[in-house]
Amino acid sequence: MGMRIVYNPFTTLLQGIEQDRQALNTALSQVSTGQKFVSIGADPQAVAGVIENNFEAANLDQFTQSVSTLQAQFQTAGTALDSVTQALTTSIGLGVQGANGTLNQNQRDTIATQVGQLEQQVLGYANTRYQGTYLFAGTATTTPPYVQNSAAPSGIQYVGNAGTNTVQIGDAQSVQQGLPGSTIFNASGADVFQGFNDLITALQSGNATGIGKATGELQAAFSNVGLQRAFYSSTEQSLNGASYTLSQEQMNLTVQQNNLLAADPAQAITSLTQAQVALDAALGAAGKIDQNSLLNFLK
Amino acid sequence: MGGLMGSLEIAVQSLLAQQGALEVTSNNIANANTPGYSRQTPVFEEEPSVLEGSLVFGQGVSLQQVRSVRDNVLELQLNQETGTQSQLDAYLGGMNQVATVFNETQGAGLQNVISQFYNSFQQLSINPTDTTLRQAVLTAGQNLATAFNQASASLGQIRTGLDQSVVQDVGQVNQLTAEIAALNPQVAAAQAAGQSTGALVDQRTQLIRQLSGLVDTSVTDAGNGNVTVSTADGTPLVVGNQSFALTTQLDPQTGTQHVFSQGTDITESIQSGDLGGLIQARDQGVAQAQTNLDNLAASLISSTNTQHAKGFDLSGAAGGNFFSPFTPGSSGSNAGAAAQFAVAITDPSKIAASSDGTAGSNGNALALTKLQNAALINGQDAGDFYSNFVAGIGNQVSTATAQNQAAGLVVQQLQNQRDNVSGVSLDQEAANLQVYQNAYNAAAQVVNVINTLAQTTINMA
Repeated sequence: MGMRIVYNPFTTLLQGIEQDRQALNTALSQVSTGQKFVSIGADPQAVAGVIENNFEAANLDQFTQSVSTLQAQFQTAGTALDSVTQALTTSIGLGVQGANGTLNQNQRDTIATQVGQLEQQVLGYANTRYQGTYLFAGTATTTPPYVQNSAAPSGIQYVGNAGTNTVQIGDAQSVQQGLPGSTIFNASGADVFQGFNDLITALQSGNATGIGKATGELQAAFSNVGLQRAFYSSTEQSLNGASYTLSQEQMNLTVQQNNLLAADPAQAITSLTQAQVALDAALGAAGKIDQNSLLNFLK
Repeated sequence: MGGLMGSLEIAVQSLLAQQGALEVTSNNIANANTPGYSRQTPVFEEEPSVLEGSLVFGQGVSLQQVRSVRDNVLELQLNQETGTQSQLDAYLGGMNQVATVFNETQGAGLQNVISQFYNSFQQLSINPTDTTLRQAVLTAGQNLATAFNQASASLGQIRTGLDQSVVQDVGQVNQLTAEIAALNPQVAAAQAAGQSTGALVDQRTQLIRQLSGLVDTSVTDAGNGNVTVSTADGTPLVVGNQSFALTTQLDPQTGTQHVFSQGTDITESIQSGDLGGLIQARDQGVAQAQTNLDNLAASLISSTNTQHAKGFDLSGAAGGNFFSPFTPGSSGSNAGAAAQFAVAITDPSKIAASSDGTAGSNGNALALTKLQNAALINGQDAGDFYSNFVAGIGNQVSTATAQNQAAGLVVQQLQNQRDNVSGVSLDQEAANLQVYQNAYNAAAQVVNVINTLAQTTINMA
């Protein structure tokens, strides 16, 4: 007599049905969520990668936002400096014009007034704000960096500071947020407002030598502003480059995240179909189990 | 006794024996689906022959005993594997709850709030005097603190739930051991009286199986029908007719219920069964998660406060604590850090973003942002530590799930083997029924024939 077998098909069948239902649940979850798994126990290694990617993605979002803000800020500063350059160009032209010996004093006074108006415009540009922050104040950003002060040699005093901030725009990349106004407008030998003041004074006094000297000061100031403007241009380029790099990194990260977490839709649907078929088969088999025994045939 | 009366006696004995066998078969069929039932077989024995002159006459058959068919080794293996599966079930139940708290695949967990907190400083660094951005930093800090509070509370609730289950399990263990202890003398008495002990032993075996599902058990045959039941490390549970109740007692150090036997704390020695799994989940899985959470919280609090104090607030004053400071316990433990996590300041202007005292300086905000990538715990930054921490929980769940599935298969295979030995086969019972019916019919026919012969003999007179 062989090994005694007790016929109990339902135990095995129930196990099979349970496995089929688990497979069906997994496939349903993949189809409905678009994710390979929805619990950290399903693939712990992938979960660690997903979390690290999420940290990195949040950083990239923040860096992207910072770059965007800085781009707008630098654009505003650049535009202001372009206007300053233009005002200086005009002023230098007026200085050259004022140095002309054929002009009478009234005409020089008129030019002096025009130069004074340009100085006020430049003063306005030097106090340019972006979202409530004075852009050329160093780190004293809450108050206007340039104020009129008759006691100051040029009549306009810089009350900002020489500090500068840097902002992180990548894991290992930062940019200087701007230049203090003192570097742009008050460089030694190239002081914008001293140049304006000297030109106005020389024009008003009809001092041709003084007019020429003051015009030279404005030319030096013009050169310096142009030089500092280049910082803004190059930083804008860096920001544009960083923006592109960040978008590439975000794209790469999305691909990585998809590889780790995203379910393959075709495979998920196929798995769903297979699981459904398997479950239907198991359930069908349950209904067809022959529960007869020898007892049914005894008479 | 020879002659017709002797034959009649043999036939009647046969009727009784076959009737008994039919009863056994009927009982087997009735208990075909009774959990723990071991099939019974009738044991027939030939009656001693008698010598009459030179002739030896058989004296028929008798039903000597009804024997339960049971493989004790298999039963012990089944007890052991049942204990293992129950332990893994309970452990997995607890750890699955822990995994839910940190299920980053569904957006739960701390990654988002940690990122938002550091990024709020990064955002502030662009415009450190902006009140809205300063308020956003406070909000991000509060969100971070709240998330840690909630995670800690969730772990606490899981631990409390497991703790309550430990108490319930101990109650069930005591009930089962009391029932087993009550059965021991009954089995012994039946055995001593030569009665069948099958039903009683089945009942006791089934109770021991249930007990194995709760706590690791070691069963030894003490002779005379008694079994001794102890835990794997030898703590007695049942000896003879005496059961040794387990008790629970709140441990003041851990705040959890410890299991005691006769005044000895046996909590750590319980490795198997539901109780073993609950204790393992409570004292290892959940406790480890809580420790990691507290360590992370303490590191975030400490590093943020240290850096914050190096800066200056909007008015130029030196920075104070950003978070309420946490003081580790005397043993250096950070227990409670996550639960006590709170933002210390409410005034946005008190955020020390400046590194030089000027309002617009962002140096310290930047330094606070960079803490995100600084080695804070075990040489890891907060993100790496957290991702490893969550992956660790995932690994525990994953491993336990695989082990649980394997244990389930082993239990199923052992159960199948047990069924093959002790289970009721309706086919076999039907065949037996036919055999005993035929034998009964034959014996009855013998009685009829003898009756006829007896009548013939009487009519001769």
